[in-house]
Amino acid sequence: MSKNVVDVLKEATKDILSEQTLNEIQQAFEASVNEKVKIHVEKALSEQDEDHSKKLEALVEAIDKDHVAKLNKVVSAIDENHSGKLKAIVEKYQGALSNEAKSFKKETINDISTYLEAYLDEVVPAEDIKKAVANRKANDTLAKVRNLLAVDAAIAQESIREAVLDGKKQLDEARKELESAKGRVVVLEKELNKAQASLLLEQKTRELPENKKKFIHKLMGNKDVAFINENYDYTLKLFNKTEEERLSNIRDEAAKQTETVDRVVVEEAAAEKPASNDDDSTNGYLSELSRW
Amino acid sequence: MDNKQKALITNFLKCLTEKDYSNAKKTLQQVMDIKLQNRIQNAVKDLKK
Repeated sequence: MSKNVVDVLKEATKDILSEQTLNEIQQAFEASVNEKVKIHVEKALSEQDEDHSKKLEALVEAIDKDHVAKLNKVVSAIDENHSGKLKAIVEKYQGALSNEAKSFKKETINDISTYLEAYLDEVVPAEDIKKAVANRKANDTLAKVRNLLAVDAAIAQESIREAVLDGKKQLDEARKELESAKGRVVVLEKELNKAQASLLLEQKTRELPENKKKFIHKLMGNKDVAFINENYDYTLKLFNKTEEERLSNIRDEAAKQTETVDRVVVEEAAAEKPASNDDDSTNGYLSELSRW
Repeated sequence: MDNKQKALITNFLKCLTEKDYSNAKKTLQQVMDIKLQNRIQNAVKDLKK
């Protein structure tokens, strides 16, 4: 091509232009052409880029949509799969807990029990237990037999039997005597207390007037010594108080009667009565009456 | 094996899982006592026969 331009210019100019000028023209021509080509190429490239980018975006979007849809399907499928598996696992473990664990527990308990039985068989053999039980029963029976035979043997001998019977008889008699003696002691103690009480009462009332003595004997005649010691003074004070009240009442009545009774007769009666009556209690109020 | 022994062994296992070895030992001793007592009772019954 470049040769053609040089050739064309050579032919056209018929060696007017030097070789250098032709080369410069050729270079300028090529540079200009190259610039234009470059511009066109850039333009084409940019257009191609835009086109490709649009297409790529569309493609990416389409791929994304496709992938999203596929991924959604995959996720839902995985979810379903996993949830189904998890349900199965839950059911299996629930069953294991409820059934298998129960059966395992039962088996374990039976195994432990069997092991303990075997251990007991080894440590304490059944024969030994049987022997021990038999020995224990034999010992008990032997002790019972010994007791029975000892008593029977003792009673079986004539002399011992008589001695035993005599001893029993003596014990019975002694028991009866003891009971009767206790009864007598009780009676004697009662009589003694009664006598002591009577003596004490007599000593205390020896110097008292007759009416007081009767009163004290009436109230305390059947009491014991402790009661008499404790309540004698109170009873005496009670009698004195009652007597004073009685005299006071008689005095009041006598005072009322003096208004209607002849004084001379009263004086005669009062003069006669003190001589015939020794009772201190009546002397008291009669002396009071004599004043009227 | 009666229910009492089962309950005691269950309690023994529970004590073991809770690492309560003192009570586990007591429970196991109770089971052993019951088993030994049963054996003695059986021996007494056999002797009475």
